[in-house]
Amino acid sequence: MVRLVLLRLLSVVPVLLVASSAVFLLLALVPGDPAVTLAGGADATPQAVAHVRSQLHLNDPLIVQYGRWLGHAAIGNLGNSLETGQSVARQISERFPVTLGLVIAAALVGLLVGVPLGIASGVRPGRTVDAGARFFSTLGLAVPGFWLAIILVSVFAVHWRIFPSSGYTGISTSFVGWLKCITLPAVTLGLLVAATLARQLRAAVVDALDTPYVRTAWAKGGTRRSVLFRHALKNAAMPVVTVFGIQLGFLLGSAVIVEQIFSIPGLGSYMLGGITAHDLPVVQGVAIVFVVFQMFTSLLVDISYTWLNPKVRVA
Amino acid sequence: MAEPEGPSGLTGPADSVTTRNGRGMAAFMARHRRPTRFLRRPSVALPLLWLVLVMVGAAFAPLISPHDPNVQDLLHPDAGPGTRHLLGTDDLGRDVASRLIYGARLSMQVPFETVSIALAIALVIGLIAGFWQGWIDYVLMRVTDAGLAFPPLVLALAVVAILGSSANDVALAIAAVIAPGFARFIRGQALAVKQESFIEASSAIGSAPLRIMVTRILPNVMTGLIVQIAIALGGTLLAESGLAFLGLGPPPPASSWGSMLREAYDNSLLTHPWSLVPSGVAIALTVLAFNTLGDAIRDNLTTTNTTAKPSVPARARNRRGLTMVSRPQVPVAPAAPGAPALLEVRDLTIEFDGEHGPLRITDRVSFDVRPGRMVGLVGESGCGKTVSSLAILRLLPTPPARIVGGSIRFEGRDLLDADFAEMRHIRGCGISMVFQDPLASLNPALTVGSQLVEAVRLHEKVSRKAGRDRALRLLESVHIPDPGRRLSAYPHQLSGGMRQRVMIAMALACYPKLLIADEPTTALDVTVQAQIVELLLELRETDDLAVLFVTHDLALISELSDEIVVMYAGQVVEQAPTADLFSRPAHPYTAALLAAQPGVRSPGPSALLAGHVPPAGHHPDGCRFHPRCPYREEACQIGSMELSDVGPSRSSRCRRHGELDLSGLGEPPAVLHHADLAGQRDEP
Amino acid sequence: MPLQSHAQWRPRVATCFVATAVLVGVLAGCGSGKPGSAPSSASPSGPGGTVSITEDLGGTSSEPVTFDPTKSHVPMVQNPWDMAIYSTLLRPTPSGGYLPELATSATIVDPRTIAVQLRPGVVFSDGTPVTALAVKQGILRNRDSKASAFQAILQDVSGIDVTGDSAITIHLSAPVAGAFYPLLAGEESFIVSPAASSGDLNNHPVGAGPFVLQQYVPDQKIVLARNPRYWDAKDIRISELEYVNTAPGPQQVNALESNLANVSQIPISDVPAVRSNSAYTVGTAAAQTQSLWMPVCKSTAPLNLVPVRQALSYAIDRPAINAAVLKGVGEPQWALWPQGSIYFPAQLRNYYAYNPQKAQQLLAQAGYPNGFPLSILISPSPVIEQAATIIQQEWKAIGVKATLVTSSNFVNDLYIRKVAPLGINPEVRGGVAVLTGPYQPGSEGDLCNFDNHSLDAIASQLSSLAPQNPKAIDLWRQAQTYVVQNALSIWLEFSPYVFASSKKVSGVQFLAQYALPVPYYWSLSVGG
Repeated sequence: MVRLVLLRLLSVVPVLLVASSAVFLLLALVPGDPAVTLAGGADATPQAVAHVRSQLHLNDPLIVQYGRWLGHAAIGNLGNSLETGQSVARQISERFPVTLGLVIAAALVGLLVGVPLGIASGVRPGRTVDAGARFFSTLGLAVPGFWLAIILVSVFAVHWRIFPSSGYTGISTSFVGWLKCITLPAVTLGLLVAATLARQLRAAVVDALDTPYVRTAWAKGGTRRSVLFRHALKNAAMPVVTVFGIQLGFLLGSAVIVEQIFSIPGLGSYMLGGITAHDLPVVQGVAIVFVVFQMFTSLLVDISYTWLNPKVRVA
Repeated sequence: MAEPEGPSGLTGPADSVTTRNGRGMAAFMARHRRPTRFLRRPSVALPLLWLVLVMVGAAFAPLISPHDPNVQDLLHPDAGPGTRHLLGTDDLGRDVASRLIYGARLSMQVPFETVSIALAIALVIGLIAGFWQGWIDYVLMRVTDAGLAFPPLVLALAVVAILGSSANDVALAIAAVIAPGFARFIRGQALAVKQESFIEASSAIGSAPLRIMVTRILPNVMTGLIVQIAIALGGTLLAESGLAFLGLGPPPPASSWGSMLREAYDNSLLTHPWSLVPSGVAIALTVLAFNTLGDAIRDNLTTTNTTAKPSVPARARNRRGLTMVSRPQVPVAPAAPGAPALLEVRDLTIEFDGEHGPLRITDRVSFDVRPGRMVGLVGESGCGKTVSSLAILRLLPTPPARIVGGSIRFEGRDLLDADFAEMRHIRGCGISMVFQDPLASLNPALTVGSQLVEAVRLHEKVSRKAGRDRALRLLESVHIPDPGRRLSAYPHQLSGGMRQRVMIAMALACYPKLLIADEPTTALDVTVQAQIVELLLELRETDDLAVLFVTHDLALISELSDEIVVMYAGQVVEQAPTADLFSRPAHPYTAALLAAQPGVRSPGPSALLAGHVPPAGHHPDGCRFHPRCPYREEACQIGSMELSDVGPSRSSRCRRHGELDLSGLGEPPAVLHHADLAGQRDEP
Repeated sequence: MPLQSHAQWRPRVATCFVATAVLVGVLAGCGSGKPGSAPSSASPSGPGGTVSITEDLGGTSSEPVTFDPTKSHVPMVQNPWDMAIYSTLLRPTPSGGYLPELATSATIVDPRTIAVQLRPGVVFSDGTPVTALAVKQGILRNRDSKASAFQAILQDVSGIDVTGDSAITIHLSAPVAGAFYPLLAGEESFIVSPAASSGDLNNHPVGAGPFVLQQYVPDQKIVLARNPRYWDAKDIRISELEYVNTAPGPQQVNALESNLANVSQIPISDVPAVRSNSAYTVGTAAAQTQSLWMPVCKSTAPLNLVPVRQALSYAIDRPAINAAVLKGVGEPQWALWPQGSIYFPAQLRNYYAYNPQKAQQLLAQAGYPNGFPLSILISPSPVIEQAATIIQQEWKAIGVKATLVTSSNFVNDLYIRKVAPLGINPEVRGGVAVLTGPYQPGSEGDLCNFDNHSLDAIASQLSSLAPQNPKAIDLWRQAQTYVVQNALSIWLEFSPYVFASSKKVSGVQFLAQYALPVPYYWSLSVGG
């Protein structure tokens, strides 16, 4: 187990290197001069721009710049925003909990809706429940998330005014306030997850219920509950856990749009701002955090595998 | 590989020609000789229709659209749907319907362009990595890892920020997101294909790698890719809309559906909410079409038959875990001659739902098992013996299975009348079952101990501790060494024979009176087979256990059973005490089976048992065996053949049983030892 | 991005070298400021009521909330509450003028020197007096802070002399006194109490403004209470001023409807919906900075030809854009200043009134009778996209086939990469910067290095003159006549901030010259 975790952590390193250098190089390819923004945008004087360039070592060869960035990043210093001059690491540490809260809330919505739906429809394929669940998941996968967000906003925020249509309250400030703010975004994101989970779980449950070991469970006199929950679900969970892990990554990506629509000060909106302003340290920093997060979730998936699938434990 | 009669075969008995694992275009095409049938399904036809509609609309937009999409009417913005403007006007007074039709151009162009680019990149990466492997593979896979490590939309955003937001740039950006996944998929497929012998053969002959890739790997890869592509097209449309919504779409006045949605959101959310509808619905419908199409193709590639129409009304369908019974009339208790049997199966008739209505899998199957006796149920694969044995405990899933006639009496109680609770009690306590493949039949995620303890605790209220003690004793009784340690082992950690012992121990957990063993030795080594057989014999002696032994292996059963029931094509064709049957078979099929035992007679098995068991739904008229029968006559081919008594406690389903002098093995087959069986276990 | 509809073309960074707004009424002689007499006699228990205003405190479009002016990184985004706490030396008025505030007068002695007379007897909210030394220290503290907000702007201050108990003289290193003058009404002259400056300013800010910080709930609200020690407390007719967190967008209207706030900025696209609701009053706050205009590269054909640029300008129907895009709350822009400004030369009104025929004649005259292709760089903001789409259609009518190019990095793409010869600009400026920025070499904003010596001369003269100086008015008119007649840029609209307020609140006025609109506290009242 420990070995597995260590190995996985080790395998993150090359991926991080590739990913970070890719982001660095990609952004270096962006035409234009990142120093202009910091020097005052359209009103920057060439001298000011030159000054900023030399301050930021933008005249160094790319590889040197990357090396320096990497060295700093290794000790947790992700540089300062070109736009506001604020520490990127600090901003990320302030915004990450916001996005994490959103992702977790969305994942919860996804699980709470998707899992029962998937099980219900997998246990009785062909029935009304199944038809309904399949309709829901097919639709859920086809509807653009932001459209769903808008619809939710216009119904629950504009028309009925149950939830605020946007804005954010920190969870430490007021839990109820946070809950109110996070509900619509989390439902928007979560329904997509729910649709995917329901779909996968249905297939997995149908498959699992069709296996010889489930037949064995029936044959030895298993109750419906023991067969479904003890025998079928644990095995059915395996493919679903993978999908869920992938979904968490998707969530992080979709959070960009949703944070934008609901004005949530998370990593997504930070990155979007960074991308539009060509704020290289910001984009770089957030991208790395995203990658680490993604790797972390896949590590969690692997760990949960060892619990679900004893075969992995030995290997 | 699953035996077609096994669990996987249950899903589609009519489809025994194409295997479940049939991969590749050939299998797909074979399944759809007439592709129109595939196209005629609503789940295929409707999405296709919509996509064609959208594409035709996009292609002929200037001809179709009622207005110029860019002409503004600043005095009449945000108009609702009406006769002049079918879907109303937008914030600048432009006709929404026309913009929707023109918008389809970009909304269709981007997905197809994206997927083409992604495919091109992925094919190169995936094929190279999969074919050469080694360090190239390592490097390429780390690159794709990095690509996959980004949240998808974020990567696309970054690329669009660099490239710009024209349709081509957006396509490139999204392609960068999709390509790694495609590449991994292609690599995986390429690896799998490469390991197949024909590629090895080709490379041994010395074909150029490129040639091998193009001619061999590519076609195999493409089949699976089609599904991925369909899904990716929908995903790309969503991604493009998302980018457009964030303002990274095509520059105005050109519009994609995504940018229309954005304009509506920015400018008319409060004043004219209707404007959110047309473009949103267009996106949703199109993605829906792509996804549904992808699903339909996937279903066709992976499962044999998903559209079988259940012929049972929904409310009458049984719940999980209990085969449904719908007998037109309940037969009266038969007056069984002689001593009352433990198990009396009478006229058991089972139907499966098929594509063209119900298929009769077994036809009036009858046999008895008396206490403490062992009955062999034999026949080739596909004869209905496993189905019959599963039907006893009502383990056949409904759908597709239904028991439509007959009765199954266990200790006088008709199991076909039992409800789930009663049946649950009989399972394990009255009758238990051992299956063919112990690895698949044991739950891989639970320890041996917990599965054993569960078997005890399902029927008896005992503590965990007591359950564990019992499990220990059960393992001892099936001669598993070091049982204490085995309890905490997982099935995959045990050897094949050990697993089957565990299965048997589990079956014995609640002291059943009847054990149904369905090919319990088939998946095992020869030496292990012998041990299991010995174990069964021993149990029968010590526990006075009746056994119904289902097998295709006559030689094996000859030394075990007291009686033999021979099945062919869903019917019992002969029934006799073992010794009688072996010495004087009364049915040509039995004789053929006997003759097919190697080393017994000179003509090889193929000579006498040529041909196949006809699948359900294709049973010939007359005697079902007649196409393969060397003794057939004109009369054998018409009407239906009935089982008739041919001696004391034996019967046969051959109209010529009186005239034929079928030769058996003369002596009960003491000559057959387990070691002799090595060569003839037929490949499942 | 969708929700920043209005924010998009607010300055991202302080692009204004001098953020000024100015002068409809000339500053009524700062020296003779009359309200100096009875500073602290106003009773704290004056008329009451709470005004709640929506503000984005969540930090998506601005930076985190701080109450220490020197801790702010993005210029002017903290102003809405910081001005209430600290006040300024001069009080800006909604019409663009200045009134005496903490200073009774400010005089430009010469282009490098400004003399400031402070109001005697003024105290900070902690009771310590606002002395000349405190003011000097306050300004220098702002200058020397490491934050980027002040550095560029205050670097011209070479020194401050305390010339009396309540008099200081500000020395500048360049002849820019005129350009510097408006800073006396800006955040640059927020004076922090010297006694408090070493303390926890972010939680306990101490200033001499009309309000004191009562409560700050991060991400939720800022509550300010009337400062009883404020010198002009009798003119503050509300007891509480509240900022409630609301992100920009349709939810601003929601905030009003749910009584979360009684005053809110609203998106322009929601103006018709709000207007139709009789419960609210819609108001606007306009300033020179709120300009929607197109910088043009004047060095390459065909835009190097004056008639071509004039033709393009004639081919734009500004009232139509105002009606369709700005829902009628905007003002067609004919020159660098709005029509109500004293700097606006009357003869430029309707100078480029919509006239496609004339545009075609001019094109033909310039040798382009059939028009020409052209690309316009735009940033992805709804207002700009809509305006650009309309312009595209209008130019099509005179044969100019415009392609819109969206850029998410406008400054880089237009000024440095020169992706297109003209663009619709989200960068806004005020004061002399509207001349020096786009038409004088030395900044990236001078597209294609346009240079005209007489214009440069006017600009540098304007930098040294006080805004109210009659000579400045004359110079401004000269400059605009030249700039407009030669169509150095193409101007479209002045687009104001739009507000809606509950009928219960009266006197809602906003100062529009800052990056975020700042309420004019002295006219607000509730009920009645």
